[in-house]
Amino acid sequence: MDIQEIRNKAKRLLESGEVKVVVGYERGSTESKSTPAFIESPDDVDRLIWDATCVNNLAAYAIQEAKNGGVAIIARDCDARSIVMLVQEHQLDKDAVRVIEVPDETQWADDPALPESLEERRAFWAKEFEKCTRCYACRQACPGCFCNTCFIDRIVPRWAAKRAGASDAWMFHVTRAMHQAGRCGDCRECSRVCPVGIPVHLLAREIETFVGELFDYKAGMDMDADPVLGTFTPEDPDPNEHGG
Amino acid sequence: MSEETTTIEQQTEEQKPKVWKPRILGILCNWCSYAGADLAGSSRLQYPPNVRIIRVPCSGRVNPQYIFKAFQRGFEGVLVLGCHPGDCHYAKGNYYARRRLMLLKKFLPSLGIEPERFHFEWVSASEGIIFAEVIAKMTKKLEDLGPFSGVSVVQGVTQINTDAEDEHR
Amino acid sequence: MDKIVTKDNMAAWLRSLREKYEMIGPVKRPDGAPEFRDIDMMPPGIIPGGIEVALDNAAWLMPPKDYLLPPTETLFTYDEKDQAEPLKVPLAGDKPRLLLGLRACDARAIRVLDHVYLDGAFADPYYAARRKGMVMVGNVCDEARWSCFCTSVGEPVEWLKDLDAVITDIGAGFVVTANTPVGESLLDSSYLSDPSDQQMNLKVAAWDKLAAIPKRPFADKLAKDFLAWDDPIWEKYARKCLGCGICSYLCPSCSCFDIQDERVAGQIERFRCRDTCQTCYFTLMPSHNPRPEKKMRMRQRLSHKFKYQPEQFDIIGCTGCGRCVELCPVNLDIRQALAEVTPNE
Ligand code: SF4
Ligand code: SF4
Ligand code: SF4
Ligand code: SF4
Ligand code: SF4
Ligand code: FES
Repeated sequence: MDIQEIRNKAKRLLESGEVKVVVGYERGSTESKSTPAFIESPDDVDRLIWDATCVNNLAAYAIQEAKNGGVAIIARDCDARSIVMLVQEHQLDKDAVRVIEVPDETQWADDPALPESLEERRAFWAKEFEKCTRCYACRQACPGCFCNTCFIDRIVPRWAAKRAGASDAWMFHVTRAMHQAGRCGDCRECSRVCPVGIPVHLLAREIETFVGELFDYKAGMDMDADPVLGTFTPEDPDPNEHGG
Repeated sequence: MSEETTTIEQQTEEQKPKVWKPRILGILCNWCSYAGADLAGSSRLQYPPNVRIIRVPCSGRVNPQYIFKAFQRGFEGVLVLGCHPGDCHYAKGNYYARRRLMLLKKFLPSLGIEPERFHFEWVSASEGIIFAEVIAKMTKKLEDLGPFSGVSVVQGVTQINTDAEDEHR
Repeated sequence: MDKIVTKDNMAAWLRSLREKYEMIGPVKRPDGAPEFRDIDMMPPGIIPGGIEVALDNAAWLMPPKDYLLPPTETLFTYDEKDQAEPLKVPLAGDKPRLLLGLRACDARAIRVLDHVYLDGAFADPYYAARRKGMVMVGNVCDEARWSCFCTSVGEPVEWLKDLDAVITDIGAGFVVTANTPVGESLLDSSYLSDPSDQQMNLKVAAWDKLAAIPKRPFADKLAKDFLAWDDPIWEKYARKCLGCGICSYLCPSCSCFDIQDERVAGQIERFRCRDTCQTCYFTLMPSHNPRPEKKMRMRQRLSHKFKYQPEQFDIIGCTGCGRCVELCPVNLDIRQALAEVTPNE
């Protein structure tokens, strides 16, 4: 996609006053990195770039920036789904946000495959979670994690101690994945930001697959749809037919 | 953590039976299955004694975190029972629960946990017999599956250490 | 004292040291990223023929502090039912540890941690137990990573002198320099011999090269007051910060911890774990949060390293290792920030 096109769109949105800020990417502190840019003046749109270094899901800034007036966000398909999801979850006013769509040209790293047997899977996750530093960068970067107080930061009840080691980290990650049901657009930010390389996005992706199979639902596709676990139909899959 | 939960943890440690028996955490709706369990008890129906029961006001109160927490703490199985669809005391609680719990059940194998370790079903206040049957069936299934080694066992580490030592020497 | 060890003998020499020490060093993970870990623990294949340690400066990812301040550490345990029983306090075991592959900045970071945990009346017994008898062996970086800025915050060649022994790669072999009696004892091995003058010259050249890493523009302005937190410049940077804490969890000199209690099946455990000033929970009090906004927290992080620690211990708390620069998911580069947050004269 032509960068000029993006800049022009950003400029128009700022000039018309439709938005107060455009969140995009600019060159970072080295050639191989971009960094989030907050463009508030039409004169600054030339700072925006669009290339292979632009990897962040900028929807993470949507709530923060919408508080100060309208915001436009440069978003790939997966990022745009996060924004739609935030509207569905009543975290964002749909009139306060615009999406500047960009094609998804991200060079995704290969995903590790989940092992076949259950025993191996359990060991796979235990080994991954053993590395977890509990920095919660995965949560901080994830647009679906918008809670003011995360369950893991609660003292009473305390769901898992903030200790290293696979057990408490497991509790954090599987619960976080469950909370992403109907929210995850597969942007893979959680795994990208993880300083120790845990492929956490695989958990949310599994959840999304099952959300699709059970409820014919895909996260962030329809601003007016109810969040998948915030609704039901009497005809939903039932344990009695599915061997509860 | 509430008194109730801690007591249950304690029990599971203390009452680890000599002959291995699976430990089941049962989360039961007050209005139906908890009464059903009561009925099973007062009718002197026989069912395996290895269920620790938490009473909740409605199956809609069951947060998937409860179930994860039970597995993290080493329960071999978790059981959730609620009112039949249409019979929820709060009209819709069990419908919401059904979505979450169906999803959770499908998710367990992704984590390497046998889906049979989690069971949920509708049991009304008058279904004492069904309650006893559910417990018996689940216990049987869990006995067949065998003990649960927990969520944090990194398999092969001991093996790897030994191998590594051999290579060095 | 200097000795030379050939590339062929290096592994054998390190292996011989393992008989006496538990050896922790930088090793390459299967995905290629290096990390510090117990070398005994490496699975086969990653250490073909024994030890494959990464002695280039790629060994930066996990800070060595994990071995002085474990991510989680039990302070004491007791049995709930047996209240008369004294607390069980686990202190580190006897087998001396040898940390291998420390870079100049890693050595400096341990000096910073020593100040925090050992200075004055509040020496920390857990840290002290690990630190006592710990042998530190390091190496001279062959080149600076894009993110490094050690020379901007001090003199890395001087920092190397905190190590018991320093390994310098001179191409055909390694010159090993002992700085302490313990270091000399390591060199007392048939795998090592006396270096030639030419080899010594190569070593000196490598150290000079380290000292010559160009300084960054902010270097001359350091250790002065920063602009007040309500200066708009803080907002410029803090706006993109995710508050993830990677920059402090992975920082080799960040030292903050939290203390939590846990009760499992009648056993009470008090443990400490990492904490970071980059989250809203840091120093949160029941009625008051002294740093409710991201920009205040960012200013705290920089002030702690560049103002408070110099005042307190006469040492800059940042070693310029570049981990936070490289790992920050939004490329919030503290070198750029440092250049802007200091008032102009
Ligand atoms: S893990 Fe769950 S509770 Fe925590 S921020 Fe994410 S959605 Fe909220
Ligand atoms: S891929 Fe990860 S960061 Fe992205 S929406 Fe899903 S859970 Fe959140
Ligand atoms: S980002 Fe990685 S290390 Fe940090 S909490 Fe998430 S999984 Fe753990
Ligand atoms: S690593 Fe970057 S985004 Fe994370 S807390 Fe530090 S400065 Fe903020
Ligand atoms: S602040 Fe950054 S550069 Fe300085 S020591 Fe810590 S991680 Fe390294
Ligand atoms: S009241 Fe029993 S499930 Fe809602």
